Amino acid sequence: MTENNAAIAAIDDARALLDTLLTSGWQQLHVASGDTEIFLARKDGGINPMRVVAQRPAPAIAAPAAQVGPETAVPAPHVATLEHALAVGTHVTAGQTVATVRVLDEREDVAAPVSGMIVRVDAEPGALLEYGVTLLSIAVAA
Amino acid sequence: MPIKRLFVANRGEIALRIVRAAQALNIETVVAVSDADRDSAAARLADRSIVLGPAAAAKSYLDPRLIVHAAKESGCDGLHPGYGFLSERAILPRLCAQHGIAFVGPEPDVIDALGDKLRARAMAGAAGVPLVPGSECVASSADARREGDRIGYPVLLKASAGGGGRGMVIANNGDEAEAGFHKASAEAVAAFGDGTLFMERFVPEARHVEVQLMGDGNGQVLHFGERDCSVQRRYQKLIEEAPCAAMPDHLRRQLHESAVALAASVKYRNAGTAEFLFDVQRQEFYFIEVNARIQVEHPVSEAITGFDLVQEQIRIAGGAGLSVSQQDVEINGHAIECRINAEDAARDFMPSPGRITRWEPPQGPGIRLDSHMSAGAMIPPFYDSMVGKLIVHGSDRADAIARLADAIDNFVVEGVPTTLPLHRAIIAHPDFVENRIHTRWLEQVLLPDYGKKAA
Amino acid sequence: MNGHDFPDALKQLLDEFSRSGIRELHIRKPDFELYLSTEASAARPQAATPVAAPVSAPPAQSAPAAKPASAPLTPASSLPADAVIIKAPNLGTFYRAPKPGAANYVEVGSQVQVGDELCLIEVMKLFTAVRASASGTVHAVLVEDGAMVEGGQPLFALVRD
Repeated sequence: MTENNAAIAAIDDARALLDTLLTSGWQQLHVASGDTEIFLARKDGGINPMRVVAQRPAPAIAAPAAQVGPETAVPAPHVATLEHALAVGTHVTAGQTVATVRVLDEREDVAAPVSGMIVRVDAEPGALLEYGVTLLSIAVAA
Repeated sequence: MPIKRLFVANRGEIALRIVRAAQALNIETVVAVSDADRDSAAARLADRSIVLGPAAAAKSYLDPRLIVHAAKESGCDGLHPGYGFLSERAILPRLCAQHGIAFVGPEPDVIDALGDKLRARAMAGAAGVPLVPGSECVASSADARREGDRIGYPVLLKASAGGGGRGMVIANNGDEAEAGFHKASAEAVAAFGDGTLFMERFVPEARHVEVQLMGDGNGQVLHFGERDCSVQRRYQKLIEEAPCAAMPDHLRRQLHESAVALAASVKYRNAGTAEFLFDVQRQEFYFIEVNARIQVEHPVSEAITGFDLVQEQIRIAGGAGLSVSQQDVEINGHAIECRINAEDAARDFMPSPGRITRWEPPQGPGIRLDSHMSAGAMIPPFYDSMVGKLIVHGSDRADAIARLADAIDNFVVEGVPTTLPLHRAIIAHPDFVENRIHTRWLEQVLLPDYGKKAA
Repeated sequence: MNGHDFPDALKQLLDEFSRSGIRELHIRKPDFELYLSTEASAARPQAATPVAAPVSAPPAQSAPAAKPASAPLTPASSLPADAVIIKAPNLGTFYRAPKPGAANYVEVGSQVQVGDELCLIEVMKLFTAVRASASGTVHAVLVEDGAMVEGGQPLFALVRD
């Protein structure tokens, strides 16, 4: 389990730093050493710089089409057969029916969890969908 | 028509057992899984697995519509319900019939009739099966006292719709019968939505014996000997043996005949079990109920008869009829099974879900393990705690006990506590070795001491 | 294994984090990332943000098949300082009602006495009633009905009268 040794070492480092933080009067602690970066904060500590960096789009990557936000997958609620789904490009609002599935002779509507545009229908009508598989994907309205 | 593709509507060791039996018959298999069981041993071995729903059983293994839909849409022409879950719910075979799927089990009307204890009791009486002295429905606490006085104490108050000990109360006199009526009825309403009760004589030191049956649905029924399942805790079996060494041959013959007569009277189809109370002092047996499915403990009957009961029930569901006749069924030696549960017997049987880190089962002649576990396997917290069944077969009871002791000593399980150490203690106890046990022996005799030793 | 494999190390850290009362702990290495936070908002998935993803590590040893404990409905930081926290006795499914369709044992604002039943925890068909360890008012229900909870996870906050 050698690949875990680095993780264990990092966890041990974090435990030591937690001890340091608790015995000090500090509100937060941020350490970067080699390839390891650790941040700890008390309740009133500052924001986490590691998360801020991660959320900022890397400048080297071309900005995506301006109106298309992150995608939300709409999963099958349980095993069912797909009857019908709205077409790619359809604008939908949260709560609106985007697909109909069938269990034996009973039909059930699947609602959009978010507002946005359908960017992909991931399943074919007539297909047996297992629980959790993606029916279609909605790009959240920007 | 023989089944070509079988849908397995269960999980755990029995799902794996059914897949293996189907494969031996060259039948394709589709296993239903919940989100928590995607990577189960049965799912990996089967030709296909289908995720029904989330981990919660109510939204996966207990939803008959999802199961039948998945079976139909995956092209299955047969469905095996295993035990537990929906195995004795008539809705499942009814839906199967509507959608052209052969159900590996009895007709739905037979399931309904046998599932209602009062109806089952009436059917047993009509077939000449001995019944424990008891009552019809009791509707009030005054009824309970009157019936108790007539039957003779102690008496047991039981839920008509019940099972597994829920809604059961023991009363030693008229006052207790009145108080017990209120308690048992409330429990029955809470557990089953039906407060109907009946009463029967309570035998304090009874053995639980049961007959393994197989019917073809046309009135022909075979038995595969009896089992003794007297090691129980809270009405849950821990150890099962076949045959019942404490029963004399003349009674054994009557027991088999009674069970076969009852099943034949309803043209029973499939594997089933007729359960009886054996009053050793009086040398009498009384009917308890019929379980209309394959049972957890079926391997001990397979061990002493040499037949594969799961294969037989699949063949029968495919219309093949019985492959053997009664004279082909010979009893050889003695078999014992222990149910290995992921529970800590030293901590009041606290369930212990988690990851198995080591799993090294014993091997050798006369040892069989039915389990879906392996090193690294996860025991999810959502379902029952059974992780496997260890079955040994010996030339006689003493030989079987010796083999089982050896097998348990050589069984390495790490990661979660199991009931294996408890089983080792049970089979080493003089009462077990000398076969002086009854259904309350474990709780009254062994467990109080076991707790102390562990503490 | 001499007691210091990955699951052990992680468990120790998690225990110490829970006890410490701090808000946030974040570790990042090229092939390993761990993010712990007591704030409900932090648990929501954020686009393109890798959160709590131990890449090459085995799952933690305590029942990873269980869904991660759901985020508290009420952030711990908003609880009164003298709140009595009722915790889960063991891992299991949290049920607020004695059976499906029945009324919940308690709601926010309910008055409870020591020993009153607050919820059920079910693991492998064993139901354990969780009882109030203090008399007072239910200030917050910290877990959603039907959620999987870990042993020791806070379930209710009570405020003594």
